[in-house]
Amino acid sequence: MSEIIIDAKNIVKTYVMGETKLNALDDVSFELKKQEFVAIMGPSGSGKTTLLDVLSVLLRPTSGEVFINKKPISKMNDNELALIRGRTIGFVFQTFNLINRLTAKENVMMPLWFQGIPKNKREKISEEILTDVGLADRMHHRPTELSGGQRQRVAIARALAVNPDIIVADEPTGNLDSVSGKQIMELINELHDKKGKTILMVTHEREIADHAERIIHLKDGKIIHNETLKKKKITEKSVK
Amino acid sequence: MDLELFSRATENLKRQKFRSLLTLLGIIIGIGSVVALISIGDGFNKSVEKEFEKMGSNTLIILPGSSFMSSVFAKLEKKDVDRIEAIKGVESATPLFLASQTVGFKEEKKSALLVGIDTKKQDLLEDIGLLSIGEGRNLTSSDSFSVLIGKRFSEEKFDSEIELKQKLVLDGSYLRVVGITKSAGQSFGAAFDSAIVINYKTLEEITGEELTPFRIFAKAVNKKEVSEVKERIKKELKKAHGKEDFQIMTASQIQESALSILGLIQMVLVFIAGISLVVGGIGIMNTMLMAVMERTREIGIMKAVGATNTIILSLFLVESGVIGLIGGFIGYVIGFSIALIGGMIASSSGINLIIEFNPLLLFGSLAFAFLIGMISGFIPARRASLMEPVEALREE
Repeated sequence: MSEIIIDAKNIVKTYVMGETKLNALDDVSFELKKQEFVAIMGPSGSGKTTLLDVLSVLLRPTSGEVFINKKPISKMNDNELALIRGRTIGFVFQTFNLINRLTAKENVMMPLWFQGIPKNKREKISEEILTDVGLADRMHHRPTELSGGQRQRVAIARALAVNPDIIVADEPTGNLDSVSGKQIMELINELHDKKGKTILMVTHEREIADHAERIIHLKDGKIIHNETLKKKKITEKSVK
Repeated sequence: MDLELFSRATENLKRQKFRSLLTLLGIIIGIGSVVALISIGDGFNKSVEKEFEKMGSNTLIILPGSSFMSSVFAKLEKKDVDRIEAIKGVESATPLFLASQTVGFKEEKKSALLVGIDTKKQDLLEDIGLLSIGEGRNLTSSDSFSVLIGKRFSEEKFDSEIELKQKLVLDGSYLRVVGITKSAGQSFGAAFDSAIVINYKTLEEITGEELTPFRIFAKAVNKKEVSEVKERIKKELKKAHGKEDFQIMTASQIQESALSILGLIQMVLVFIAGISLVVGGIGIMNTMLMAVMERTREIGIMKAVGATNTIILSLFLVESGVIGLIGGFIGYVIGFSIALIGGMIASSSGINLIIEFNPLLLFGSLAFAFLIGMISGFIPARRASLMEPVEALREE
């Protein structure tokens, strides 16, 4: 059994909207093991994005505790959380969230800058990763000059820059046509199978969720079903 | 990494050239006017200091009247000069007389200022920098109807320029110009610059009036003894006049009061100019608040990929600091240029104004402008740093 990398216990997230209180997450507990590929599914408003935000320490829960590598986040200040995100989690968003005035390469270099890595090293790493995701000839283009699929590749390259253990993907194919969507999923599978990354992905499409090893079904802020898919196994060799 | 903060900041500014320029304007005007005022003020200070250097710190000036108002009624006596010269520690003393008379040159007649001097003592006047000959010769003790005229007097008083050896008419007597004083153009020599310098005895003879000294200049033997000499003169004159209807000033005293008045004027002006710096700072704050709003999503992205609050804070702080710095530099260049031009204009109209490059003022204004930028940027930068990453990210 591999070790637990994210451990969430009794997570409640409440949003107060005027007089009414809304429990986006209602007593959710969840474990993510190292090198697992988990998909979170559910209809819109089920709380899946909120869960992803809490698990990736972008958002603090109202109550409950999240342990990242066994460390509780409630004891950490915002700067420490930022450092944990920067080091251990790579983000891929539905809307790509690239900075449009920076080139592809500069976007990939950015997380490395926050880790205090010197410029020449940052350039080298970024060039390598962009080549890996098939964008060797697009490095100096700005996001607005790239197709949706290419932008998402830049985002994946940025997520990989600091070589994190976990890749968090929020509807990674949501804004893409089916061909690019398929290519992006192939890339994510490759990260899991070949590079041994732990993948946590939110989607509302069953077809996309089927790439995962386990699917968490969420409804009204609660986990209603924890489904294990049998088709894939991680081989020891695949660990980088 | 710190250096990169600067390059990031300048990149951001370059993208918004026009807005950045508008923002800079406030700081440019503020720093520019402060630099111009300080440079010009320092220039005046330097010329005053130079003037007093010429006079020498062992010079004492005796004026009638114990205050400015009473100087109209109180009078010094000619005998006072001998009394002062007799005092221990005084090297020599000489009086200065003033009279205003109608003077003719060729066909013209004009009212002119006449300065009567003791021709036996003019070396003292030269010594303390009041009188120096530009052309011709100085007066000697045998001169009576020979006079000196000021440079400005020779050029501007009458329609045609007065030259050496030409004659002026005063009350039917002819005065021959034997020398022209050097253009003084400064506070003390200025009286001589637009006047006729004449043997006071001749002046009395022509006007038929008994004159009383308008000033007595004395020189102490020893610089260190000036204040003791001053006390002795005071005591002696008080005894002779029966009351203290005079004032004694030392050169350093006058210098001090002149400098303190200049300093006060300068301070008030710099304070007024400083208000535009506050306005400039508010401009920076406004621009930075807009920048933070515009870049909300960007801030969210940066936080998601590992930027700490500290990094976001310093990113925006440095950006606003750089606005200040650039504004400060441009402002300095403009302000110093204005001071230089002011100095040139002043010199051409006879006022000696020494504008010098002062590295301290340059670095001081740059540092100050950077600081203003940082202070103005603090609230926006803090707002950016405290943004919730999720809220910033999902912002569209």
